Amino acid sequence: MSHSHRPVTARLRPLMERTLIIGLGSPHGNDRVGWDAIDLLDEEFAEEETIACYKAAVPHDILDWLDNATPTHLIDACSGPQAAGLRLEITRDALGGLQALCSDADGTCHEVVFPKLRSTSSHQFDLQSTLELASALDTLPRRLILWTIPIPSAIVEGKVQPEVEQLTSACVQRLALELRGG
Amino acid sequence: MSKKQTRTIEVSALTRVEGEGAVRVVVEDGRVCQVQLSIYEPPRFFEALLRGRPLEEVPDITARICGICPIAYQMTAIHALEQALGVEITPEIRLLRRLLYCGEWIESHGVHMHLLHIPDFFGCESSIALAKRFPQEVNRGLRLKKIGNRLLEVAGGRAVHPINVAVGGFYRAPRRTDLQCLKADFQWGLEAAMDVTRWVAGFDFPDLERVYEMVALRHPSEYPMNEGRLASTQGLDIPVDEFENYFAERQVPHSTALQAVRLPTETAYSVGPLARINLNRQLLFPAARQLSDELGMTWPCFNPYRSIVARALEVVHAFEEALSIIDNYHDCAPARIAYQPRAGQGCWATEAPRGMIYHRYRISEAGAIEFASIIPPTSQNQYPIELDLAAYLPSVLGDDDVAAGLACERLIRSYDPCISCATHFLQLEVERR
Repeated sequence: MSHSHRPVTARLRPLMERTLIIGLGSPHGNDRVGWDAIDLLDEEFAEEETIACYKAAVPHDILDWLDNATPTHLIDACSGPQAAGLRLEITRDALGGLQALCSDADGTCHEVVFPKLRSTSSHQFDLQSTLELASALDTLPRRLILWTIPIPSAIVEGKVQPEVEQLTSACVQRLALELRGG
Repeated sequence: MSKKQTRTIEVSALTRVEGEGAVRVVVEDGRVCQVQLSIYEPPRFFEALLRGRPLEEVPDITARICGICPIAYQMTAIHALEQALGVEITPEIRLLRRLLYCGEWIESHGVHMHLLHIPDFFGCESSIALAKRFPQEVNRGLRLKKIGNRLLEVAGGRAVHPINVAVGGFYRAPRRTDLQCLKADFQWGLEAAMDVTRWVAGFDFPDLERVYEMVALRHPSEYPMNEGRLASTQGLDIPVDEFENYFAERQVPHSTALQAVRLPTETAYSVGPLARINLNRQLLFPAARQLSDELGMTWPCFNPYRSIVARALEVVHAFEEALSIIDNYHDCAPARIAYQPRAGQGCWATEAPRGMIYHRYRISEAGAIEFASIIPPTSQNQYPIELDLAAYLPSVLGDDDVAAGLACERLIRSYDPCISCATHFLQLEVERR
């Protein structure tokens, strides 16, 4: 994969807190962007022992790694009429359900009604269900951020489109800057 | 003249199965006259995609057919290609392959039982509701899944579409020390799997016994995973290379997936853990075998709802066999047997978690794929699912359509259908306030 991503410089402060980053994806065309993001982040944080990066093929695989103490970032492709590169901070609401505060790539914040975050996963145990299960089992991380990379469509067996590669790089840069405290 | 009373029950989207499917039932004058299990995911065209590709790429491409059971697709392809090429693997490579199957069965069965199927037995709409009632049991199931994934990572290179398997063997054999590190988890897993089996065996099972033909591999000296003859509960006993003389796929108008039938009768047959145990129970490892005797079940069993017990027993067996392989494993050399590409044809069948899977390939002189045929277990189970629904539905027709639809879903989920593992992506709707 060619990309214009350059590692963030080391002038920002080093990471102290153990952090988990999980990319969801598959080998199929645009749907692999979660994994591509992990490849870029592995390169970015190669020297950082506090960062653990994983690739998940199905949403429920993230349950292998979640715990309620470790800040966690999830990265996944998204589509839909309002799809945009979003950062969603997901927490438990007062009733034990999930809620999210989201911000656009330009930093504009919006409140999100979490039930609107629907998955059209071909696996019925989708990401939202997985996070709700983690919440029910008390393994939902106290700090959970979902980064979405918009894709026009999931092209089966095709390649990742160049514009989607650029969006992946942009997402990775935002995430890396946040982790570095930038 | 009395007017016909027609009722249509539709479940437009099956929940808690892998993939996209629907079921439609038409009832006339109180009689079930049509049952259709529809697959509406687009065809995957993998068989066409493989044509012209170098044979070395086949394991990587076929692994992508299924995210839950990539090993079964890879291994069946590899064995078929090795047959075409005349490759003889070593006993050590063969054992490592069985170890991979153990990991896949543990992971796949664990997921299906705890996230998809067990909720049905407690009236829970999802495993989330189940987790609130039984947090320890669900956590136990998730830990079993994680251990299965860990084995796939160590032996297969990664849990996500394993990259270490190749025609002739493995790119790199795992080290004995890497496998020994798994022992403590596997010993815990064995005990946990036995507890899971006792738990699920005590569930309330609907009464549905249909004595139809069940098909699985059978091997003279081991519980079948990746080798054996094809056998059935109605006396079939054939080598795998005669598969296409006894089984065929048919197009049906209501589904994009093909349905399989027995030849020459064009009747239904089923595959899966229940078929495997019905045909091979005596070859389970000792703890699994003894547990199968203690559960109070009648074998052979033809109640599809009790397939969950068969799955649970196979998880016990997989842990036992994995521990045995790990204990006896010494670093495998060579990890891979060399071969020369040549023209030829090969076919093979192995046991995916969901049932018997069959591949056939024809290779060119230069080592490119000229022809591929892949018959997954779920397409073989579509027809018996429809017949089971037709047999079971009269008992729930007194319920309203929603309840009857849920009953249909429960029956279908008993088969653990993996309709397709295509892409997944979030459909995002954001309400901006």
